[in-house]
Amino acid sequence: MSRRDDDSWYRRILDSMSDYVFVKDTRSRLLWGNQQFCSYYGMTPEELVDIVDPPTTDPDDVVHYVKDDYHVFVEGKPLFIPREPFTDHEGTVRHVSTAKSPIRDADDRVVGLVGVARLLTDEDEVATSRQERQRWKEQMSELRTLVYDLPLAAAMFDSQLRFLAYSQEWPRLLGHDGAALTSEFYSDAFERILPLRARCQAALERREPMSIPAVSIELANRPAVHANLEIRPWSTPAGRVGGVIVLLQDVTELYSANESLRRLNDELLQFNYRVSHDLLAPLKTVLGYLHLCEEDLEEGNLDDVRSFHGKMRVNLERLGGLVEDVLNLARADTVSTARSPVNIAALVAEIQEKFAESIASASVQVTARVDVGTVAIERVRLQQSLENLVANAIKYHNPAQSLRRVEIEARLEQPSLLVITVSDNGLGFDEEQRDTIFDLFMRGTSTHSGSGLGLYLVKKHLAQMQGTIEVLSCRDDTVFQLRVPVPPSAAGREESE
Amino acid sequence: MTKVVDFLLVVDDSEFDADIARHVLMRTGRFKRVVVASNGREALALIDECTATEGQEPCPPQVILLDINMPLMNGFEFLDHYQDRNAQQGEPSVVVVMLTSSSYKEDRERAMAKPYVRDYFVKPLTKQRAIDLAERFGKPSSEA
Repeated sequence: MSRRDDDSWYRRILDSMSDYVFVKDTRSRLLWGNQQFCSYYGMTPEELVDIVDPPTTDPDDVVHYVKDDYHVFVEGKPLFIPREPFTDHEGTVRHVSTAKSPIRDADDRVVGLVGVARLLTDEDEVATSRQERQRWKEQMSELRTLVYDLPLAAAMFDSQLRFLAYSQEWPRLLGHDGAALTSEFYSDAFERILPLRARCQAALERREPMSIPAVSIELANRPAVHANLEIRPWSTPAGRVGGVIVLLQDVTELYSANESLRRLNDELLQFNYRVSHDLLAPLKTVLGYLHLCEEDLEEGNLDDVRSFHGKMRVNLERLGGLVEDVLNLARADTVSTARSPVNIAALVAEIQEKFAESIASASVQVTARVDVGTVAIERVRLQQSLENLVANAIKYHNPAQSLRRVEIEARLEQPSLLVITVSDNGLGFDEEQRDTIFDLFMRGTSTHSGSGLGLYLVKKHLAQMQGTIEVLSCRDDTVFQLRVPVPPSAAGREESE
Repeated sequence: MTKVVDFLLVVDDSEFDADIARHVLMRTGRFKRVVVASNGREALALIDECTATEGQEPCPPQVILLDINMPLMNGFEFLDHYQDRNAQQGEPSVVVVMLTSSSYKEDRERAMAKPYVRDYFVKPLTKQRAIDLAERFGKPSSEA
């Protein structure tokens, strides 16, 4: 007993005490216990390290300990617990009174606690402790059952964020298919995909619920989940905060609906901007020529007036075409979605007839090869889509080509897929425009007029028909291919006619 | 003293609007040379080309009439590229006046915040505006 600066000297003193002495870190994990404590738990000091409590201890009692530990850590003051259960390594429950005191580091930060427990001998005290324990267990059981049965992702934690209970929806929403979570630390299992520690600590300290809308949760091998997050501290009947309940309401569908609404709105804004610009532009052009004409007429100079007049006409015609495109687009979402029998060869012939004048003036040779009879399809959508593709093929012909070709091919692929290809040997467009050619107001060239709505309308129609439109080639030969599913029975029946 | 502009560049994808601008400008007699580019990319190429053949014609343009909505490179993109180019090759004395059919406040504000932009005209270009352009940004005519 002479070397007072020797650690073993202090340890001997602590081991000599009949009280149970233990040290815990701020996550309520044991760091050390004196001899009495270790033998009560049937463990060596080494085995004790890092466990919260031995397996024989009732989890409800652990919640009780952890809640008191947390109080000491947060308040930074000693806490006297007049009675509490204490289970040994054989499962025998005794009752103790415990004093827990914070341990501080050199910077005065609380880094753990030291507890001293003494067996209760007063029979009345022991009886009261038993009753209190029973009540506590009933309350915990009610809370657990409530959480377990909640129809949303819910989890109940102690103040150290260890799972006490969780709903069946919790592991499903968070993509957890591993071991049971009870007694696990939240941070070990989920902090990486949904950081909650700081938020839960804040809710615990303020004793106030916290709501965060549409939190994004990134899951491995699965699309991200969006959930409304709610953190609610729960308290013991004595008013001491016991932990938090975390609720996650899956709003992924709502969120993505909201996102697509936002995208649609952006598109609409852009659409408004461009349409009003494109509607105004030819009007301003006509106005410009009108000014020039007025000036010429005032001066009696008629040399340019005829040419200005022609240009005004072109612009007004362009305006008319644009208005028509805009109207078609406006109707694209609302045109009748009913399929009707459409004879594809007749439709193609009709379209050729419609463009006869521009085909002649551009000296374009249009050929059609239709290997399909009548199919049940949304006629207006298919017709407008084909008209747009054919009109483009004619308009963007290459004047340098002696033989200007436009080819329309239609066939059935499998029994239920209508495939129509429109190809031409015209000007084409740059490879870099391949991805954007179907975008709103995308125009392949600045040398030809166009609303920039045509291919966008085609894409929209195809999407409405659950079909696709694809650019197979954009140089030398420009090839667009549309593929539309058609009911197999109708297609088969008509084809065999 | 009457002021004239030696070289004005119209950047507009609408051949008609460029045609109107050319007529209006030439009729004022204040613009010696009016050249048209149909988008920002073409305008940059044209400026590079005329810089390379210095001495033959006045270059760079004193005034650029710039449309906003154009394919390949729009007016805003042109201004950014032009600024980058000039940062490397030296700042020319040039003014840009927007000539667009957009009367949107957002477009006007965005354009006026860009380098070189001194004014914002909504189409069509009128004769009076063209004369004002020459008065504000031209040089005293040596022939006057």
